Amino acid sequence: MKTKNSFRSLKRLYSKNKRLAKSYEVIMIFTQMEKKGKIMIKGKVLPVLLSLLAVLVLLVFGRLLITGGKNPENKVVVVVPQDPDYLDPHLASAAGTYEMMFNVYEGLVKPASDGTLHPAVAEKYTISEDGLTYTFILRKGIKFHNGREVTTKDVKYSLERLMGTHTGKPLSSFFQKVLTVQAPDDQRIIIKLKEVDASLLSSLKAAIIPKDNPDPNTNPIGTGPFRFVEYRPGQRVIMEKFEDYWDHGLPLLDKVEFKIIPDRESALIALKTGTIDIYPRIDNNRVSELGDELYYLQGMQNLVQVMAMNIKRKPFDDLRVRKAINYAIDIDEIIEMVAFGFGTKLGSGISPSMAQFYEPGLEDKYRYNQEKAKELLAAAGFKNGFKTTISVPSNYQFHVDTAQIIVEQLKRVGIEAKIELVEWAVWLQRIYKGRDYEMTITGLSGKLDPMPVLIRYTSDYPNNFFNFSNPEFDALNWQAVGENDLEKRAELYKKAQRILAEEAAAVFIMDPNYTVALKKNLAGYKIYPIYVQDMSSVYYTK
Amino acid sequence: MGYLPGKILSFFFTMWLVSLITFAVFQIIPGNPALIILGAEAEPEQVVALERELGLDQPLSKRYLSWLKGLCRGDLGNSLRFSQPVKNLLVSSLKVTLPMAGMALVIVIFLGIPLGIYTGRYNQQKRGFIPATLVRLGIAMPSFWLGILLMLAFARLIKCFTPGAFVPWEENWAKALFSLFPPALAVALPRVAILARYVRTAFLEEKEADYIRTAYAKGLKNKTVLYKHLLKNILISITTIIGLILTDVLGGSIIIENVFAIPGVGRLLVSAISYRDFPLLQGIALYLAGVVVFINFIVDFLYCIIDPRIRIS
Repeated sequence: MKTKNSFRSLKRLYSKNKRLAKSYEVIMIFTQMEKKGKIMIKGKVLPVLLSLLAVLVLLVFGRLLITGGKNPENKVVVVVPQDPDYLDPHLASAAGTYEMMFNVYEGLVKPASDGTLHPAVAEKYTISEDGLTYTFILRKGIKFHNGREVTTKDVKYSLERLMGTHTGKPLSSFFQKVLTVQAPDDQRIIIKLKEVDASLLSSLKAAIIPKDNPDPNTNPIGTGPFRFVEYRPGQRVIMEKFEDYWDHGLPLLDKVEFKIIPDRESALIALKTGTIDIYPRIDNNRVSELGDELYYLQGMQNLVQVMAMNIKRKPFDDLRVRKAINYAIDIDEIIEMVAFGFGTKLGSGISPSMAQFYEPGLEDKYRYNQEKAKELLAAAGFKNGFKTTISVPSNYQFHVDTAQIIVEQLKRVGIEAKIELVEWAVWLQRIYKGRDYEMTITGLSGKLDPMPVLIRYTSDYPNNFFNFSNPEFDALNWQAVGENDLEKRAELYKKAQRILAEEAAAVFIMDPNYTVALKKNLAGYKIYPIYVQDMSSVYYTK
Repeated sequence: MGYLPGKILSFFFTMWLVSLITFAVFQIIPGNPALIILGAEAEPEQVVALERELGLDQPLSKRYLSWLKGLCRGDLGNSLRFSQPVKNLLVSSLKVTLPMAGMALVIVIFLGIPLGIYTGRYNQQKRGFIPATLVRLGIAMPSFWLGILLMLAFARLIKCFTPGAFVPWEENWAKALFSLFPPALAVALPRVAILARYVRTAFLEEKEADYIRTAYAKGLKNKTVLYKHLLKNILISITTIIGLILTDVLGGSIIIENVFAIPGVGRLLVSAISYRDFPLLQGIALYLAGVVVFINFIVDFLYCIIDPRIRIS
């Protein structure tokens, strides 16, 4: 009897809500239940069905909300893993900040996607014969995002702010050789040097900001293709097209949003479901999952993944041990297993993407050879190997995976390494600054100029956490900085790289490929040899 | 001392103790905020300049004292990492966590209690088997896994909620509300199981009580006995556990917030810790402590309403 009653009420509900049910495909559930009318439908069916209906309505409504009104704007959403450190370009140093704000700020010169420098805020420049005087001519009519024209005074202010001329607190060490910055008229900026500094030009990509902006950190104003609109911590950075951009016709997009999603899995799902349009640095093993709506581009990243061995510590003070470790590690296997083949083998501290300065051939100097590794270890007095620790920053899964393979490889020659996962903050403090470690794996990002890349290995550099010290190497570096002739300079840096390899300053592993996934209808994306997301040339094909 | 003054006093004492412990922990763990903010690429000049700027060259004890002083004036200070007032950051993440916690609580109550009663009523019976198994599963399932599963289900199968879909309330409140539903569900489900489990245990214990036998002996209907007599009596333990759950969800869920990419208190807490952002962490710690004390107070209060025999003294 009871069953019959509730069945009747169900039927009533069915006829009452027929229209609603139909529109949300709930009807299927009802008809099925009706067909199986013999099944025992107990008293609680009504509320259950009602809540089911409510959930369905919610889902359909939610779906409409999310997908409805799909991208009528000419806008892209780019996913980034972290918040910017500072919006003030002279305080910021994180690569993750620069990659976004590259669209907002420009320097006297600006890098292009092939790594060359082009005039930006300046229209052209000349360098004097002796290499001590740089003269920049300001671009005519160039405007800041607030509509005011850029003056030579703004340029002078920006550079002097970086040099700390008036505060005594320099914000950058790249301008140490600059004697003065002068703005004699409203066209010329003259930079005078104490001594020749061949890497100065690449440092002059530093942002030019207006002199009269009281708080560049909350109100960033530059001259770039996009105007800063909003930053919400943990959520997003939004930029809009700058109508008065000096390079007419650019940018092609109206709006760019950098969405902050730290979790890689979530970012991938957001990409696949269309919440984001561009996913830079997607894991190489995930590109096969992209499907028809998306495609990917790849290029060299200009990143040097290294395993540092603390040279001040036993047994790594012994060159034979460092060489043995280099022989014991099979880099091809690491590239295959960790980067799924998408990586370039390295032999020294510079990535081949800096072709001009790269010394080829070093990557095979320590071709995988267990016997040789064992011999060298025996000669160094470690016939039975030794125990050591590889400290890896736990937030970089790529390095953690690499460490796991290296542990296995070292085991084959008798070295027993254990992995110590350290938090990023601890890594920076204890390992990078404090140099308290035995072995560690990290990625050193490349630059436009070899100077800041190779200076890391000079003995008096404060962040030389390798503890590498070689007088000849130091001398070569200082010589190269003072050399204005490009070819001679490259030769000096090549020689320096040979020393790094010969002295086994570290295990130079690979330059993992840079992979970016994009929506099929997006084009114009350019891969840079530095950490940059240039949105000015990106556009929708339909 | 009266009840209220005592509570208020213990409230401030708890808050102070929490801030002191946070401070002490910060003395011990390594990590330099300036270095973390600037990263490995930083030039030494920048680190020194930033340390001075943030006042990190002062000893931590001095920073703690000046923070305390500021607190007395109602100023939580500025976050080191975000160079914004801690208050603003907290408020904006609460705008995410509070609605989500509210939604989760509704789900927990409306699913957990009926489920608990059902499994209690049909304990050891065939029809109670599936719900009881589900409850056990809910308790056993790790929350990060549940979060990922739910996200996959919502994003891939139903294709309506995706991570990162959260937009600020001012922009589109409906969209914001909807994007908070899946994480709220992910937060709620394990707690539904916990609540159901408690309700079931309380139900089973109470069922043996004398007054229940009396009620049956009076010839009352099963329904009346269960919902009018029994449920009233287990309400105290239900309130206790809901109070605990509420403090839990109000603290934000680190894992769920990360998986669904929503900017709540949990994510703020992680960033405060990983960036060694002392003022921000202190602010969050105060909030969390405040929530615990406040909810306990409310629960105490509710006891008196539910059971007039209980007096606050």
